[in-house]
Amino acid sequence: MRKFIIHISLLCITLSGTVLYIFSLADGYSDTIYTKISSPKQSNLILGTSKAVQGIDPEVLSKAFNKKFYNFSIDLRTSSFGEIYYNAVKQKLDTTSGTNNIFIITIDPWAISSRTTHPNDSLNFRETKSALNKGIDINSNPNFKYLLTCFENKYINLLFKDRTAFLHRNGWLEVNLKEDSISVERRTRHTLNGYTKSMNDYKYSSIRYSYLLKTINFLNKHGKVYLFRLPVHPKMLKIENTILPDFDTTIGSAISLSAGYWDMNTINHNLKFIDGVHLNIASCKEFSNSIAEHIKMNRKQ
Amino acid sequence: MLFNSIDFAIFLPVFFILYWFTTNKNLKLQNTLIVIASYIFYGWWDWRFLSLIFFSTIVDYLVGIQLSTQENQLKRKVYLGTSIVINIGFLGFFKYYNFFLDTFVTSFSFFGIELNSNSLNIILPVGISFYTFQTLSYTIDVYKRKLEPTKDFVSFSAFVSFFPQLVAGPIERASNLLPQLLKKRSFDYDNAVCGLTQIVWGLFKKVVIADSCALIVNSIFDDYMSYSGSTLLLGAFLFAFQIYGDFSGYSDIAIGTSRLFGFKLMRNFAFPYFSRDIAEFWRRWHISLSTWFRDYLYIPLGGSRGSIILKLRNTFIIFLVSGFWHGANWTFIVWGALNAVFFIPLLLTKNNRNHIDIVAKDRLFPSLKEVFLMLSTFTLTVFAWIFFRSESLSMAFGYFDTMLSPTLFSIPYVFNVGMKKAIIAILSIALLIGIEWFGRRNETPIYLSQKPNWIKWFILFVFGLAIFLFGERQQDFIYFQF
Repeated sequence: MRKFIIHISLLCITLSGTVLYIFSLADGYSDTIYTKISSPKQSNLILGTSKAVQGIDPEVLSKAFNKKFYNFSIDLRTSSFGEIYYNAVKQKLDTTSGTNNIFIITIDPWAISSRTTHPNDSLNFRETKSALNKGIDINSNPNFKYLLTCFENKYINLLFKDRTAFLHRNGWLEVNLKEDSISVERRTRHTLNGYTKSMNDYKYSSIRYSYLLKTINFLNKHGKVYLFRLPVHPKMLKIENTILPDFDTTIGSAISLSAGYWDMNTINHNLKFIDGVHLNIASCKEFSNSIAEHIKMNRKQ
Repeated sequence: MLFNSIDFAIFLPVFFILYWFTTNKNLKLQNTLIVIASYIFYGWWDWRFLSLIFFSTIVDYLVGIQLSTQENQLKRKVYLGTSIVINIGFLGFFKYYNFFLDTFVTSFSFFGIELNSNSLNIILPVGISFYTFQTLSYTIDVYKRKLEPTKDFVSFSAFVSFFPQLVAGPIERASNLLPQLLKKRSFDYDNAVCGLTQIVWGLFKKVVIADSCALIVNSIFDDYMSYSGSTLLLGAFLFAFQIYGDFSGYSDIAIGTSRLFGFKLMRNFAFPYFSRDIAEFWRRWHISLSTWFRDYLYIPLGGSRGSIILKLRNTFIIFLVSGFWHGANWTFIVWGALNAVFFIPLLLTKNNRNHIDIVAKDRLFPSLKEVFLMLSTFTLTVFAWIFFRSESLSMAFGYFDTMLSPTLFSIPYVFNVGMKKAIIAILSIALLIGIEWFGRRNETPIYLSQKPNWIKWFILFVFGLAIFLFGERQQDFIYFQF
């Protein structure tokens, strides 16, 4: 028995050591969340879903404002507006950083809608199953608890990195996909088909909207909040307008709480998308510049 | 509690320490610990259903004692009947009530009579089919005087609720497990290491092979109308390995865990996909259930004796009941019937016992004929699995319809789950086939008892690491639903 206990203890120690070593390799290639929940508290935040995580590069804004920006957008199933994302934003914000911060909130009909049978059934919102609702410390580095309990990929991905996407330390997700017209067309068709299929499932959620207002109110105490509706492919815009036709009117109270609101779909930037929804890298930089210009102009007024 | 959960990873060492270091000097105390641990293990899922296990335990314990003292045949039959009615009654209510109700209503509506039905929102207690059959075997064996009933209630409770095999088998016979509970167990280093190896191999089959296949299988079956015939064929092929990895993996973990505590459970799988005909497949697949049906249903019905009509009847009954045991759905019944159809020609031509030994027993590789026989048997099982996996008969027929279309000859598409995941699933299947082939002469494919200790522990490390690196996150075992 003694021999067995010694041997199995050695096995457990060796395995645990190997596991810890592999966990220490987790980085921006591991998945699209890890560096978000393993970075320290931040002061100037960009909030939203996957459109924003790929579409706004904090580095561009940091240069423009000489402030460190952090993109805390994640994706629709994790960071739609609601209690969970609101609490995560509260955890992520460095509340000691003063009241002169800049917050960029990107909004669209998806982020204030829900797929649940009843749109205000917050107990069954998709993000209830996300890492943000698992009680993990989202400012801890390394974040072993996340890796152990929430990491959705196989751990082999920590050893052999998938170079398609890289989540930068500032929260920007850089996605490198083929950008020839055939590939883009195929992805756009696939993505738009997916959204078309599911658009009838989405219904405006007043609870989500109330949490958008709460988020703005909370951030207003620490700086200025700017709202942006991100540009999408015209077909996608049509889908979004079907879900919430009077979007600007619906979010009227959010606009009035903010320091400014811009619907970027109305501005012809000649932006390019990788799939009809998410901007490509060049367009992301251009668009981030454009956001910076808008905010600067607003601050001058 | 799931074997592939962190809860179990904590539960098992705690139980191990208490079992071997605290209670090992007192058999009664050790068996009490088994009962308590088993109830915690089961109650982790839903403690309310512990009452069912407890009630079944009391009923069969008392019936067993009465059967041993009672000489009056009529009274003995009443006692046996009581046990059967109560056990099958629970099973029937929780598992089949809604099925029978729906079938009844549908049958009437077929003749234009509309009935109002009130389906109940019944939760199926995990493992009810397994422990019900286990306790029934005890009562039937005592009734047939093949087994002396025990008066030790704690040991009997431990037999009914023994946690390693409580929720998904192997369905143990009292004649095998009960005597082991009634005598002192001693720790054996080699046996424990072999048990640990079997646990790790079972986990590998579950979380690496079965769960990797499940991702692709689910995406194909959930949207089968969108795929080509070749993709659907691949989906069915992968499901064959998913269910094998899932279920035999569970059995390996159960048997391996029992070995850590000095128990030897019955073998449940014996490399079924190396079978050369369906009869051999059924001697190698879910052995504890097929032998249960053989001993308690097929043989009492007359078995393969009597006229051809009787043989056909008995064969169909055993396969249909076996299918129905798996779930309250016509798909399982058709799955059973299909296997009967595959089996009957062998029975009628007296070729059902042609292949008793493992294939190529004295050779490294099989002959071409054996390869052909194995592949054709596997193909038949794959076809039958389509019914098993489908949610309804219409889905199964739709699946076949698309699969057997001209698109069967196109290149399958499985990479919607991600290229890496698809490659891992396919490579892990290749590894499974390789390891099982080279280890097929042993009871378990990774047979290390003659090897030096460092090799054993190194192999444990390698498989442990592989499970960590390639395993999917905690998913339920398929057979829990049965």
